[in-house]
Amino acid sequence: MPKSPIHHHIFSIAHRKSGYDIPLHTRLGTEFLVLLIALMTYLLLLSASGSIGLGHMADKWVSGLENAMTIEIPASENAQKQAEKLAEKLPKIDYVKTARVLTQSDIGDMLSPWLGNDTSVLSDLPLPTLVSVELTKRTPATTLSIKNTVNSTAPEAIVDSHEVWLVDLLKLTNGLRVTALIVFGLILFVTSFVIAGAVRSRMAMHQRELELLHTMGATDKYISLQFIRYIFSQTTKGLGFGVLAGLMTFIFFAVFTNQSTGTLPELKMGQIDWIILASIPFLLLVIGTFTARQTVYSVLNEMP
Amino acid sequence: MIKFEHVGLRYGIGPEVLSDITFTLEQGSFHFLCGPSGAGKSSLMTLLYLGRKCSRGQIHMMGKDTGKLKRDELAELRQKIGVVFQDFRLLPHLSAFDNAALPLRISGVSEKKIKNHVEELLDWVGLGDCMKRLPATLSGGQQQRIAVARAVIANPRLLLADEPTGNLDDETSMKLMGLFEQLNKMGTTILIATHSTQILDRLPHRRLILNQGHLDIFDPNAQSTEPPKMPEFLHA
Repeated sequence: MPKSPIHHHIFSIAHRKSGYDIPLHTRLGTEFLVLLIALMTYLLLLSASGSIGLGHMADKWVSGLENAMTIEIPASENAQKQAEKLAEKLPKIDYVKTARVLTQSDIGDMLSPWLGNDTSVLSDLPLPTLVSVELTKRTPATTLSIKNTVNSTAPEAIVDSHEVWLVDLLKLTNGLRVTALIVFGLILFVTSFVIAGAVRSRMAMHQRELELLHTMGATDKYISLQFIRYIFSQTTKGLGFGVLAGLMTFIFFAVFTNQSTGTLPELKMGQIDWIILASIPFLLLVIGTFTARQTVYSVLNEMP
Repeated sequence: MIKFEHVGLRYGIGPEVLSDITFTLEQGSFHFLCGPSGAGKSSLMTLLYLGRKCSRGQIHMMGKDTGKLKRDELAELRQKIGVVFQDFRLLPHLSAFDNAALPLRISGVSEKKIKNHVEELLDWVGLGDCMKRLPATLSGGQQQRIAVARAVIANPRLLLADEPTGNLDDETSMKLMGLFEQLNKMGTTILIATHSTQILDRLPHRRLILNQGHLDIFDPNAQSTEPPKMPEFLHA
């Protein structure tokens, strides 16, 4: 009975089950690579999501503070009247969207984390009267006009344009983002370094087989493809574990932040953020195989 | 076919193990390489299968100056050379079939052709029923036959064999030599390193005699040629 092409194909696979001319499928102590790749993937996912999350947090804080000002009028008999006058005058300035005198209840809400929900104590405290100003755009001219109006209406009032806060917050969040990116780069570098070490170690273990293949006319490409396949399979296994651990952490974090009291801004990932995170395993795979290729070529280059 | 011109070889900063070697092997010729242990036979074989670059001189092979070839061109040239090593150098994790198939896989031959060729050749060397067995489960003689099959499977233009009959009985040795002669008649250039006086006596091919890194050539067919001073072990 004639044998089908499928039979031939299966037969050829059966002959060389491992698929390697060099016995890379044997366990020779380089299996730590899977664990290491898993750890690196996990750390990369954490650092990338940390960087993305911090970016969103900074954007929210900045947008919240950038277009807002608070005018504080120290407690006095005229404070409430002065505040009402300001609430009338300020919206006439360009780019001022609203100006609102904060009520006792608004101030109570703001102070509730420190004083509790009992608003009766507020009447006993010499609290300033606050005017919250919302801008459509912050320009130097607008800021100057607001300050002039405040000086003429309530000379003892203080204009808090949140600039000090803004600069400090931006410095902090940008610093953290840069740190997260540096950590990301370092992890990639270390991963690449470890893969190169593992490949060199395997090549040293199989020096005899390499020399034989070389003698038989195997090109550098032929030999490197076997190592690329080996690193690809090890990296894929490691990526699987790393991504799984990363997902579990994200789920845990999502559940945890849902239960928070709202003092922290909510962290939401956009579509692009998920695409960036999803591309990390592919990035690792590309770096792993590229490193394996370059390492094999550099070692083989020492042969004639 | 192969031309060595004033070739020298030294390992590192050590003394020359081969000095001023000059010879030519014509296409389709059959030569024996003889010499005592330590004479430089293995080093000469290494140069012939392009496993090392010479320290001085020039090696021309199949019309190409090997010193000027790029890596891929050298690999291509090596694919035309079959080598039978004294210690077989079979890959222990591969079956007899896969060991023999290695040169064809390296050359990119299709699996269908590989199957046909390897089965036919292993049948011919008497290992048709051992194809799936690992080298460790085979006798020394069987391993040697796989090594020979692997060397000739890709129909090389140059066949180098280092003591190919070392582990074989007389009958199998002569059968193997018959295979080499057959390949030679088909145009393959053959160089066999051997100590076997039995083979040297029976097959009157030209001999390259290495002694202390120097090479002499002796043609037993040329009656007028005075044989060079032969080492003791070659006295028939």
